[in-house]
Amino acid sequence: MILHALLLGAAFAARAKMLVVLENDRMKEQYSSVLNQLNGKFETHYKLADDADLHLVKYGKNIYQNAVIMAPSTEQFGGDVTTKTFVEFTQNGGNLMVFASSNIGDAIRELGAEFGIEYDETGTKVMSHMNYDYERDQLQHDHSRFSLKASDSFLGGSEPIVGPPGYASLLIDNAVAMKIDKKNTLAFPIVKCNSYCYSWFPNEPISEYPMAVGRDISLLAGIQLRNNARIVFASSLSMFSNKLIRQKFVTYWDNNKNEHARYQNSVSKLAMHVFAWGSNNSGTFRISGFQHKLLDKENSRNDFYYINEEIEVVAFVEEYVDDNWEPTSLTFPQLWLDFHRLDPFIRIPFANEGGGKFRATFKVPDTYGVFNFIIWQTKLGHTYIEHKQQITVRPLRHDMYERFIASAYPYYFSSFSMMLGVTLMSFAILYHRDVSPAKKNN
Amino acid sequence: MSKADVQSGTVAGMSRLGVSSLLTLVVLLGVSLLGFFSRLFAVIRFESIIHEFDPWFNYRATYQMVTTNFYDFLNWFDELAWYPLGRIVGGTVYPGLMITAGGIHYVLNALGFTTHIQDVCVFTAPIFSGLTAIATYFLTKELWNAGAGLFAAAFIAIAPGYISRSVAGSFDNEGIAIFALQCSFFLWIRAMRTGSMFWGIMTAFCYFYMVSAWGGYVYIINLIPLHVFCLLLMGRYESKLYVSYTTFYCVGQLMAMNIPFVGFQPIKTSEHMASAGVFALLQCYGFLDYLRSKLGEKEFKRAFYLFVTICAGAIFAAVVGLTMLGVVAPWSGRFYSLFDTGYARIHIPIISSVSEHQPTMWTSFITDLHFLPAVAPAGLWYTIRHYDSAKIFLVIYAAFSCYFAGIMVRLMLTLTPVVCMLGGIALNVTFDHFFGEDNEDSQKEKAKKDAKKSEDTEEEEATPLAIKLTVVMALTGLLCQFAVHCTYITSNYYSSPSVVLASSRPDGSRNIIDDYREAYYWLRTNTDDDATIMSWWDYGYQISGMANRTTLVDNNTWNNSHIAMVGRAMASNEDDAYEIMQELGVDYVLVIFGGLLGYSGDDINKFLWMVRIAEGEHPNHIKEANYFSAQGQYTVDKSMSKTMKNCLMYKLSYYKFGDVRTHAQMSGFDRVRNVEIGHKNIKLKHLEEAYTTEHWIVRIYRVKKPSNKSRKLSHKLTQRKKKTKVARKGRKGVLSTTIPAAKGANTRQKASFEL
Repeated sequence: MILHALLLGAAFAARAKMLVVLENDRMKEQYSSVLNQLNGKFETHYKLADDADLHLVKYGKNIYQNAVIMAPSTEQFGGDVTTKTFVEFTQNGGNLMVFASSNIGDAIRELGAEFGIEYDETGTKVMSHMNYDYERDQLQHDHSRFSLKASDSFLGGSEPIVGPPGYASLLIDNAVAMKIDKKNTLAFPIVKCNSYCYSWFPNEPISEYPMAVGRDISLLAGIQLRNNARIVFASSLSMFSNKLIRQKFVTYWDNNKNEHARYQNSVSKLAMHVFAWGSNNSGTFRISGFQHKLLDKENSRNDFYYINEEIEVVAFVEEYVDDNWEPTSLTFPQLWLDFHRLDPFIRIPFANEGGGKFRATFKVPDTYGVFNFIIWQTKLGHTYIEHKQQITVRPLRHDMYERFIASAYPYYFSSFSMMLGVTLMSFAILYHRDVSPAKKNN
Repeated sequence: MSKADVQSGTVAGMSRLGVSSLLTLVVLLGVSLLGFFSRLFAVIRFESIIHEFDPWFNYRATYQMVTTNFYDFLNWFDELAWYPLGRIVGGTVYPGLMITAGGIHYVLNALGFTTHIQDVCVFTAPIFSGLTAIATYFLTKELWNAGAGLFAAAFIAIAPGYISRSVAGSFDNEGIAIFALQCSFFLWIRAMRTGSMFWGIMTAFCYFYMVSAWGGYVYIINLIPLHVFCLLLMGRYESKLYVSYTTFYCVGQLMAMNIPFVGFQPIKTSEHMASAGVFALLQCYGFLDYLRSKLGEKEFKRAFYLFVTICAGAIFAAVVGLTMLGVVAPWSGRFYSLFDTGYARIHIPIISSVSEHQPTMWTSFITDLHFLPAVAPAGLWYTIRHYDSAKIFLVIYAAFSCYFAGIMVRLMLTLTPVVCMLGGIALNVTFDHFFGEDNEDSQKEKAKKDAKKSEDTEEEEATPLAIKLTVVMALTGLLCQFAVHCTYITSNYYSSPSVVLASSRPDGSRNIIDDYREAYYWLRTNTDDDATIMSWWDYGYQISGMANRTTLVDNNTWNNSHIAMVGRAMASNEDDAYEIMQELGVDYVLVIFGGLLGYSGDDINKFLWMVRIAEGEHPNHIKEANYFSAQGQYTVDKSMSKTMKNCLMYKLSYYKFGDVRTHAQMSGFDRVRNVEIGHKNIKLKHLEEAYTTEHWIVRIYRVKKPSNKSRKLSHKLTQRKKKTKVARKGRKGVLSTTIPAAKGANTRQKASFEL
């Protein structure tokens, strides 16, 4: 569905600008099947990596919304582009897709390091002796073109990133091992190797422990920055080339059956989904409206609340589909609301009422202070959904308490009886004359 | 002043003459006006501005009240203070001050004098000090005579001890509370003298005003019962005392309970239990006295005192028992710290961190009262010599005020009126001695037969004229000195708004340092409406009053743990502080720094208190000892400890200060601590400088949002960099797979990797 939308959908809408950086012009043809799909979706600009006129950011503004760097061997970018430029580009909200390869150059390596991704040395390749491409390996014996069974490898992320399940296998070629720094909390693997893989110089004896083996090796990694800019790091460029992407089946030697076997190659599907995700065309949401008011129909006050009032909160969530913001569907996962003052006093799920409308009702806690409505949802593959609104919860006014309470009746009675008693007493004292002694005298 | 004393000396002589009362009136009016005008230095020197810290809140609250209405004020929930807790102002404030100023404002505007509430607030305290002089006159007159009253009124009008709290612009509770205090005491003496319910209720009303105006009302509600108790001990019980105290106590406490902030305290807290106990004791005493009058004197006399003692014991035991059971709240820490001076330092550092809560230095007695402490003992001696039920009150008043004034600088305020009264009495007696003319002596005797004893007159008759003249001239000279001293102290020490500072240039002209208002104005105009400012609590009221921004803590120090949290943030290193600030939702941090100018009241000098307060709540995170150098000194030079060097307060105070040359030889020389700072190259990670005022007194920092970016690789790359290149604009890039060639795809070689 997303694929369809991506390819055909918004051909007429104002298209986002995309920069594609290549190593040489021949690559346009070599990667045409991928690039043509991008051409259909974006307003693409092609530049060579060593072009002296290469710019991403001008006067502090991004020139492009997306940048695809298909120049793995770059030692140094042309123009004014350095690692810092990429940082600025992503800080400004630009999306980045970076492709590496076993001939990875310093510029790409530094770019990875800047975002917490580490590559193995130039010349090393990820190899597998299990599912390597039998046909190719007869020509070039390095086991670096192999297939990964989707069920063995980690096809990480959620549906917005890799689309619906149904991957058979991926044909990997000439990949450089990629490791995600453990302290990097924003990066996550999308495709990981299976446990048969390792990374070393092809056809050389292994003299020390490789930088990464097995499932440590990531082949595709995603990062979503806190400003929702997305970055995809791929460790192999050539697996997306026309030649390999069009190879529908991978032949390999099946050890169990002792014969050649074939898997379907799903790289094409993966590419399309990852490109859609990486250019913020999938799993992109926003809160377009947020309202809160008293549940009380007559009183629609919403600038502050008193304690223990019932209030209603409505949030509208939109999804970016086909270059348009559209209300999210009912399939949107649950959205949560916090009512927060140092700690969350209330944390409840919204009810999805369709049409992108989410509604929650709750009773304001019995504590006054300055509260915040907070929606803060991080879900793999989704944009961070964040909304914060301050509201004051006041204590009751002096005249909002009950005027007469049953338990106070004894007190009312005692005070009134006291008043009566004092009146009678003073009456008695003032008007009673002690006549008896006088009478006696008389 | 000199006019007042000369005339008051003759007033006693001119008794039974209309001239006397006219003169009294004129003198009193003059004294009141003098009191008013001598408080206007601050307005003339600077401008009509609210001073210091607390007055800013009072002004803000008053403004809120006059712009809305009283009930809105009562229910005002201030969301700018104590973020995110908020403050119910109506229930946590003594509203008397706001109502007074609001009332004056209302009356003036109703009469057609359009005034801004700020001007009313500025002049409220001077107006009330005029009234205080009059109240003092009446109280002294009630206790001694009119002559002493006029002396006392003249003294209190210009005594610096009282002026310090009541200059124009010092819109604080104390400004009107001293008037209420003197007035309640006067009414109480009148009530117990006459035994009239009317005066008892008047006392209660005045007491109610005092309760509504200042927390120091506790002083009244303990002093009056103590007076009654002493009278009981001395066997001076009379039904007048019973009537006046009972009416005062019942009506007064009932009214006091109507102040929301006071609430049920009069029957629930230990501070008020003395008055309740005396009330109960008086009932027992009265009842037993009644029994005694009915029964025979002799058979009952012995039993009577036994019963009274038993009653007193039972009441005392009941109060103690109720306190133990928790029905009656024990003494609050603030009250307790008045009796155990070391208590606050250990248990409530926040109280002892305030400079006005420090023990009084002996010099301030001279500064604030000049020669009065020297003559007051004489007045006290005369009072004791001629004691009666009323004068005993003065003795008790004097004794307690002296004690409290020794405990806290702030309580010099309660000492001042009583010292003025005693001084007035002493001078009055002396002038009567030496100034009285021979033919008037006999009249004087008749006029003050209770005050004078036969031996006095004998001495007086024996005094030769020369000595009389010498003494009178010496005293007059002293009084002139007093007037000069008071004016000098008022103008030089007590008339600074402290919001605006002044320094004198070498040529003698004045240089106004207006950094505070500059900074607050910047905050007001350059930050978001709901921006939250973190600063030490001293500046909370000013920020909300002048900058109209949210503060975390302010001078209403009701929540110690919240203050400790701010203290902890200031005392932690930047990473930890950042976490705390994120949790508290801080947008800006404001620190006061005096190092450039030599302004000693800055945050670095207050910092140890922040550490102490933070340590009280978070002993696991903050340790005071860590902030001292190896030599055990609190310093900012090279020998300072690592904790001190890394703490947020140090960094924010001295950020970029290392680049400034404030000394001929070195840069980064702190002119308050007089040292070269130890760490000059300060780098901030989570904060950035937002604004620094002209003289660097106020420095404001913005708290940065968490970085958008994911973390950099925490270790070195596996492959070492081959070359380091400097980025140049418009240069060509380098590809490892191509030979450098001219532009154009045709000449480019094929990439080496296989497809």
